[in-house]
Amino acid sequence: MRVSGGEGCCLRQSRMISTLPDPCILTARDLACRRNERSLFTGLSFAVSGGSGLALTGPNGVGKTSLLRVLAGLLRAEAGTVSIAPALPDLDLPQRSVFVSSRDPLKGALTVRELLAGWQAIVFAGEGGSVDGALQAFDLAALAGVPCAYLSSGQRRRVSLARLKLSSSANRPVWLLDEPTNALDAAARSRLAAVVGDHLAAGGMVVAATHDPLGWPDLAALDLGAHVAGRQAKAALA
Amino acid sequence: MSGFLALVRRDLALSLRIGGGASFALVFFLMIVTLTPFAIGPDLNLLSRIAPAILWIGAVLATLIGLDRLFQADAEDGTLDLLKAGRLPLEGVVLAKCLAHWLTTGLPLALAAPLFGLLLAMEPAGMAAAALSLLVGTPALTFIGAVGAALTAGIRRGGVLIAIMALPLMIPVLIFGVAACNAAVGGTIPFATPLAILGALTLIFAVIGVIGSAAGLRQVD
Repeated sequence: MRVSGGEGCCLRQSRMISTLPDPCILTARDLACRRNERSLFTGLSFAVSGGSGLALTGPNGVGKTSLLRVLAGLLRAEAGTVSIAPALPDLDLPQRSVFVSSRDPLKGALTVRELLAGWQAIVFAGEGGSVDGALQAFDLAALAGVPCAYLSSGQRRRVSLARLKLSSSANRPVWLLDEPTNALDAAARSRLAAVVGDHLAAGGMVVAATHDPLGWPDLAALDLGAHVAGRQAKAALA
Repeated sequence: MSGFLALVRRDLALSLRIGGGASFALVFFLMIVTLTPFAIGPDLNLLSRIAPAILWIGAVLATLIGLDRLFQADAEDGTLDLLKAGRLPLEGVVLAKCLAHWLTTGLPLALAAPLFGLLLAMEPAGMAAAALSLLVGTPALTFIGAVGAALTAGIRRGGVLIAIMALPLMIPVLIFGVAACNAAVGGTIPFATPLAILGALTLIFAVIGVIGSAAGLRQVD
């Protein structure tokens, strides 16, 4: 059985302003994923085009995070392919997206500025983002000198998200966000919405796993609950 | 290249600030060395004869300290995902982290060896040889341990597993390290021979360790 979940997200092409040279498109074809002998989803196909986004919903354990990890190139899919067009030479799938997982990769002993400067030099070298810009975008300037160990969970989340502003949309047009608004207050949510809005306006793409309504523009929905492998098998038996 | 150096700097800063790696390994090394004279008694001849062996066993055990967190800390908090998404190949990541681990563990051990040799009634020539052989040989210990650390990165309490996997592979390094120290204070073979083999072992394990650890880390998801 083959289900296509993304008709809605292909409709909207990139908007007027586009800093990306070519319109980008993220395509997933016939994805299947298995974790610990348990099949999560099968036959999942969708496409997200530049300037639009996709909200992944579904009950806990349905495979939202696994799908994001597959899209990020960090988890091997059991079947199917993921591609981001146009392809860039010597950049593989993990280098084409920014994946913000639900874990915050913060080091307690480093200050916020040191941590972001480290990410910029080690992970996002030469992509043109600035640490100050990232601090400003998530209202972290006042916390720049604070060791990460002293941050609250909402502040940790903001630091974690700040890496989005260190990346270049040309190299990494796809943003993969796992529960991005967890622990964020109203002000931080609207800052995140603004950052995502800028990215979409520049022709980027966003795939976000969420339980809350995000309120971002140009977001199609994909309910992973409809693609659960077990449910399909049961339906076939019945 | 700048990403490589930034990662080395970051790991050095982390290990010096948290204080887990560098100081613990050195204190642990000192403990092993000071316990031995108490266990053996006041026989200085015996002590100076087995001193190279004690120093090397101490170095091997002290290297294991901190190895369990070499990749595990990054795997737990999601930093590993971030590193996999960077431009630096995973082999470069491993090499940078091994270099930082050696700079905070192996290098201090080698530099402290002459001082600790005093406690074991070593001759001056023996102390110099011990320091030099540790300087050449401890990187091999780090690279061997790194493979074990990469394979257990996704497991809680992997420290014992690392010791069980890595210690047997460290035996050749131990043999030629102690042989170099003994050759410096007498014996029939020249000092340079075991030292050259020790250097070769370090180079071989650098290649195996970097490639093996990177392959291990790719399996962590």
